[in-house]
This record gives sequence, C-alpha cells and structure tokens, in this order.
Amino acid sequence: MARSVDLLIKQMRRKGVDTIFGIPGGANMPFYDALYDADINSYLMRHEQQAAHAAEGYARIKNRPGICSGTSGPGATNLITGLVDASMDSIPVLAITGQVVRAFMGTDAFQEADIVGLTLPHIKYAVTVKDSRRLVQEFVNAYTVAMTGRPGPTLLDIPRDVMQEEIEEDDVDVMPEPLFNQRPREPDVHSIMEAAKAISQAEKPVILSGGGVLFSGATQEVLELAEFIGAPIVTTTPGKSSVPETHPLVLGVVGMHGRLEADLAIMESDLVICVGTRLSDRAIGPAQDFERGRKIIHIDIDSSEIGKNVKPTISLNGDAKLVLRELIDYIKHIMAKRPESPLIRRFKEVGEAYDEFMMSQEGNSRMTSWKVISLLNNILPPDTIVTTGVGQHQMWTQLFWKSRTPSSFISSCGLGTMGFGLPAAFGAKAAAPDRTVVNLDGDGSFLMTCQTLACIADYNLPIITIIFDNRTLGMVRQWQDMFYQKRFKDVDYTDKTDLVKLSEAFGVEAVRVDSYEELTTVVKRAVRSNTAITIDVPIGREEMVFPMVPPGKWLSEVKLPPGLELHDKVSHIRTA
Amino acid sequence: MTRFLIYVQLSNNPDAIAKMMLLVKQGQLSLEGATIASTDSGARLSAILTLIGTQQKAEWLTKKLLNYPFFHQAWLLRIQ
Repeated sequence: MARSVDLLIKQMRRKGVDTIFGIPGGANMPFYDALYDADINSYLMRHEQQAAHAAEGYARIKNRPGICSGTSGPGATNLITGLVDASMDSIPVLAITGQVVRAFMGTDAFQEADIVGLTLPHIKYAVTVKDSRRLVQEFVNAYTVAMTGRPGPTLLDIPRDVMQEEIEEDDVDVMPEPLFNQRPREPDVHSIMEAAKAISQAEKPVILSGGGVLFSGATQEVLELAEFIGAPIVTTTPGKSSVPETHPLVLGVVGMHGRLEADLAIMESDLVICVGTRLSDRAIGPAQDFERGRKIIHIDIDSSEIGKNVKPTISLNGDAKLVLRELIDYIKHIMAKRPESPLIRRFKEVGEAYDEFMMSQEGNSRMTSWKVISLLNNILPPDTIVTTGVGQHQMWTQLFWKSRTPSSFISSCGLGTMGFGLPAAFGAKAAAPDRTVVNLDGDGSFLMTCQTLACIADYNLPIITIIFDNRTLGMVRQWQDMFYQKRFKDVDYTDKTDLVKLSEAFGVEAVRVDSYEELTTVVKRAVRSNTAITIDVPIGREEMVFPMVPPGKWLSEVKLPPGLELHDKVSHIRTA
Repeated sequence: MTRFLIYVQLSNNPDAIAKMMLLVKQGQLSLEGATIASTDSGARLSAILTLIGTQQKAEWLTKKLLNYPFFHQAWLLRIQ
C-alpha cells in the first residue's frame, strides 16, 4: 500500500517529468511532501502566474509538457492567466492543483475555488480527481493529451484527502486511455496531389510558417520545400524561430508590425502555403483581403482551424512535418527544382532600405530600441533563447532580432500577456542551463512579474534581462497617439521606481547603461561569466513602432516610419 | 442563418456538458434546444443540440469538439 500521491510522483518520473514550478499551500502539501524524496527539480516561485509562464518556457524548449502547481483557491486561480496564455499559443502545460477535501467541496470552504469550472473555456482537459485509484490514470491522460494533436494546457485538480489515501501499489507504466491518445489524421493523398499541382502552377508562391512548425519539428521540411520551389518564407509571430532568419529565403515576421519585405511578399503572392497557423488578423489582416487574388493552402493539425478565419483553396489536415514530407516527395515527382524567385531580391532591398533608414535615426534618448536589438544580434551566441514581455519592445524584437535556432524566440503571442518574459526565461533556463537566455522586456511588463528575480537569485539561474525603459506603457501610448488624438491617459510612469535598486534588492546584479559600448561590454561579460544581470536601458518615451498596419486594414495600408520613402523600390509591387 | 442539429457523445460528467455549452458560446451559435440523456449504461451522455448560426460556425463546432477528450463523437446535420 502507498499514498496515491506517492504513486503519482513515481508515474511522473516514469513519464520523464524532471521539473516542476510552483508554490505549496494547504491543499497541495501532500504533493510537495511526496516531492521531498523525488528526483524532480522543484522551483519555488513567488506567484503562481509565474509558475505557469515558467512551465510554458520550459515546454517550449523541451517540447514536452511543463508542469506547474498551486494550492487550492487563490493558488489555483493565480495560474489561470498562464494557462489561458498556453492555450492561445498551443503550449503543453500541465497544472496540478490542490483542492479542499472531498467532504468540504461545494461548501465554500476556506480556499475553495472551482478551478476546473474556471479554466474550462480555455483548457484542453481539466478534471477533479475524486477517486484516489484514478489519480495516476488521470495524470497520464492529462499529460498525454497536453501534447497530443494540437498541444495545449491541461489541469489535474486533486483534493488533499485523495492525495493522502492509501491504495494498492501497482508499479507499472500506465498508458493513456484511448480518448486521450488519438493520433493525428494521416495526410489525404488526393489533397496532397492537388496542393502539389497548385504549387507547381504558382508563379509567386510564399510559405507562411507558424508556431505549428515548431511543435511538429518541421523546420527542415519548410526549408526544403522553399528551396525546391524557390519561394520566400515569412513567419507569424509564434512561428518566428521556426526557420533561421539568416537563411536567404527567410523574410521575417509578417503582419501588423511585420517586416516590410514579408508583408510585400504576401501582397505580391499568387499562392500562400500556410503551415501550422490559425491565420489571425494580426498576421494576415482582414481575411477577405488575404483570400482575394491568391490561392491558399492551409496545413494544420487542428481541423477546426481550417476555414475558421480564412477559407483555403486546399486544406491539408495533419501534422505539419508529415504533411510537408509527403507534399515535398510528391512535388519532386511533378516539377523540377526552381531557381530562387527574383522577387526575393527586390523584397530584401526594401527590408534593407528600412534597416538603413532606422539605423540613421536618433531617438530622443541616447539609445534606441532598434539599435540595441540589432547590436545584440552580433554579440549574443547564435543559439541564444530570447523571451519578451508584451508591447513595443516585443515588436522591436520581432522586427530586429534574428532568430537562428528553432524555438529560440519565446513570447506571449496570442494572449499578449505583459509580464510573460521574465518567468518564461526562468523556465527556459531551467530547461536549457547551458544556453544563454535573454529576456528582452519593457519596464511595464517587467514590473508585472519582477519577483521572478528572487527565483533567479535563489536558484542561481543566470538570465540576462534587458529592460527597454521608457517609463510608459509604450504600445498603449502609441495607440493613444495614433488613434485617440494624443489624449495620453494613465500610461506614463514617473522616474521614482529605480529598476537597478529593485533588481539588486532581489539579489540580482543590475546596471543602467548610457551607451551602446557600455551595453556591449556588460552583455559580453554576462555571457562570458554566465551570471545573471538586469540591464536598464533608458529609451525615449516618444518612440513609436513602425511599420504598422492599422487594425482592420489590409497589409498594403501599412504606415511607414515618418520620413522613410520607398516609392522607387516598391512602385512595381502592388501596394497602396 | 441556418438551423442545425449536432449530435454529441460525451463523457458523463457536468464538466463535459459545461465545456460543450462553452464551445457553443465561443462559436457564436444560438441554442434553440438541448436534449441530454445517459447512454452506454451511464458511462456516456448523448446530447442533441438544436443550433442556429452560420454553416461555417456549425462545422467549426463539430470539429472543435473532437479536440477535447470530453467528447467521443460529434455529427452535424443541417435541418433548414
């Protein structure tokens, strides 16, 4: 006989769980008691939301579920933002929450909350385990389904007395029940043939690579297809590191704050091969504009995404890697390898003109966001993992940071959760201690989850945090400037909060830099010595992120940085 | 707007019913009627939902349900 929670931990180890992010409390104390003797790293976070984001960061690096835990009531409800974030970005996360004892459930007991009910709209699977003999099976089900098909968050809610109940010990590798382990559909051969034919007939095909490419591990297939058909590759924000941005065919992120060359490639295309993306309005603008004048092939593991936002010409439901493999094999039978499209050179010239213009610009502060990020491309190792918060700094990172390794760009793309960057970096560093992890943050985002610095200090996880410190909620300010007649309301901060002292108070070295040279020296030293540091970079409050496609508008209505003229370069391309 | 019947086989627990209704809401479909009964000796529920909305949303719901392990099967029938 053994406590059910001890058998749970044993099964977790069996499934490869080696790390948990969480906080103990009254209802999940038996879980932590069982962890005491387990060969599992448990990180004591300072807030459960951060535990969930850390689990997301971990999952993105390891490509398997990240585990987070909280006690009942507030411990569980604090996890919700992270779980919804994981749902929006299809990240496998398993939350294990304590619950009040069964006899007290439904009585509004102390720290009782219906966490299953609260998370249901946004979770792949959630269950309160009321039978201790089902606990291990439910864990295996929830763990498996988190990464089966389209990944997503799951939740296991366990009443304290269920964890403590003694049950028969059965030391076997438990398999998921069939409903929790459904294999993705095999690619439809007829649709593969149709898609291949459409690609062979297209004159200006473009590949749009989404986050699904990362989860599927289909980077090589995307590159192989692009190289064979001579097509440019653009990415969504979640798909940013799905292909190396130094590859000659990769044009960068598309969409509202996308690279100009990427937006132009979509506008000019006659066929877009969309891989592992839900085709959100942020990426492609209004669906009717995207659909007009071009064929669309949509490859996605989630059949409900096909036709949801955009009506494709050809749909290919299945795992991106499998579908692309079959597609490439078939294409090679029906067409010869094509040379690189000459349009790509033209698109790149537009991007280079944008870069050149931005590098010639001086902001109101001594340093500008775009120059800082461009600089980092040259001084950080190629396999650096970059996380971000949400806001202008995130968009600057999207525009100027060149991802070179799959899954090396981790951001809150769907939910847009400010405060995501630092705890996600913590989780990523826990998953990949040998890689450099840099959190590029805004001061607004940073202040939402800065207690994670305490964890960084406690566990000696050397994360480099660079704060683009403009003392304002920059993206909100930009929208108030552009769409609300400059009526700036509740966006600006004072200078009273000292971010350097704040970081030092948590036990993490910090420095404020005033020049690019100083920044370079500090970052290089932190990388070389593998130490944690917080770098405060003063940035002008007036900075605005361009290009920007106004919400609800087609990509052709992009607003360029004031002063940038591109008529000579884009006159031959269909733009507004 | 069109009227649809969606037949769903789901696990016999209130969370599965709640999830089904939340997906109806997410799909912006109007619920005209719902019949839910236990089947398979009580192990499962069968639900027949009468919904009004667009074909696209009804199809989305039918496919979306099968993403979640609360649901065993789902069929869509256009009735008007």
